[in-house]
Amino acid sequence: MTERDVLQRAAAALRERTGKPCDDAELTKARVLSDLQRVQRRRRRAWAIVLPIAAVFVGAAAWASSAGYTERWWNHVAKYVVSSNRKEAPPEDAWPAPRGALPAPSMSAAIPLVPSVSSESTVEESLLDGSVRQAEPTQNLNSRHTEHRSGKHRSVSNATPKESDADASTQDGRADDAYRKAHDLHFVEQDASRALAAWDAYLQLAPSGRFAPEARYNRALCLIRLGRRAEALDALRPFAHGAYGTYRMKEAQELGGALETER
Amino acid sequence: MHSHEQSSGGWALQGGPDMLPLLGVPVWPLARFKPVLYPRADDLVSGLQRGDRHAVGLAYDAHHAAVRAFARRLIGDDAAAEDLVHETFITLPSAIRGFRGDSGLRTFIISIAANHARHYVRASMRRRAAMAKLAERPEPDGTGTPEAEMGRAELADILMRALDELPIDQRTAFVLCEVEERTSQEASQITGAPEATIRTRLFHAKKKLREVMQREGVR
Repeated sequence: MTERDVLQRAAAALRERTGKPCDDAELTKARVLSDLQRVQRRRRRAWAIVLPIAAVFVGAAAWASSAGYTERWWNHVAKYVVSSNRKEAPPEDAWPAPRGALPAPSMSAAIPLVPSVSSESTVEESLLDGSVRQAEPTQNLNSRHTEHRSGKHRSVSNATPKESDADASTQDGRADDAYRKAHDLHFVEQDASRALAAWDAYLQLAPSGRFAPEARYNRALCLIRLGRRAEALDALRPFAHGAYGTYRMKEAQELGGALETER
Repeated sequence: MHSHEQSSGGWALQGGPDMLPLLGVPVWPLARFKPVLYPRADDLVSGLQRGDRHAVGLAYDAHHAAVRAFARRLIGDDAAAEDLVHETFITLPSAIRGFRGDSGLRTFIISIAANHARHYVRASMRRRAAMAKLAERPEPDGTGTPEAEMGRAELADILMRALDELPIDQRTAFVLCEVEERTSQEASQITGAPEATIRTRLFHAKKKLREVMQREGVR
């Protein structure tokens, strides 16, 4: 017997032994069909749960879209995503409501500040619904600050740095970090001195950033708290004169009036 | 009265014609026609793709014997082979989406079994190895036992133990080509490996099996 024959005969023996019909065939078929039915039922049950949820979601989205909520929500989200080149001001509720915000000094009826600079505003866009839009052109606005600047505080940079697209996003990230830091110092730690330095640092990074108006206003509050009235008046004057539209206009007028009265 | 049915399609007639008074022509009442849903193989494939249980049942009836035989030859354990058959037909509705029609449906179903067989083979190998340790099987004395004196069953057992020493790919190639006597082209369609690879695996499998069977004392 050759080895090849042995292998062939062994294969034939295995073929013969395993080729016989099996008694379990019908049982296995029943298992297969039963398991398939169970899988299909599970799938139908899952669809019965998912479809109504999806329908509710789609319906809610359609209603929200028709009622204008979707656009408002999208604008709110987009402000955090889009770069600082967009001409939109952050909403007033962009940051949580400050805890222990610096109190405004008590005052009588608001007395508008007498403008010491030309009231011609170079701001080209007006505010809508109390939201702040970025002042433009930045150079003109900053030059107005420079006229009333005292030597006691750091000047805000006049130049908008020219940056490449690659650096712009890094700059935005740093500016956002600087804003967060200043916000914490101002509203959480309530350290006016350090907060002032932090607001200045942010404005140096992003003098026309999306939170620049808010930073300038909070900076003015720090100056008030530190007793630097002249600088505070200078800082509040643009707001009082509507350089940022109606953003903080009333508050600036009231604060400025109170400061003028206390002189 | 007569009835005939096709397993995968056609019309199943039950009962004979009634002599309805329709121009004196015998007519099978429509209610006695039991249409089968898949008159053609393409329709059966469509039904399988939809996950129709009836289609799976028809496919099982047509091909379970071939799948079971392959599973038993590959795994060497009837219970595990039955589980593999079950798993093969359970996964058929999802696997059939990859069916291109370049091979027969039976070949395709066996390829599903071959793909799923790996862990069954390993488990049955481990089981056989454990049982071999427990059983007191005399070591071959090297004098060689003439094959003619062995029963065919024992020869099959020896071959199954020898197959345990092969890698799964060579084992599959041997079972398909030598035990099931398929062509290398069919084996290539089932395993998804090129024909040349199948022939190479077969060559190495046979070489190894000869060595093992010689060691077992079979000449």
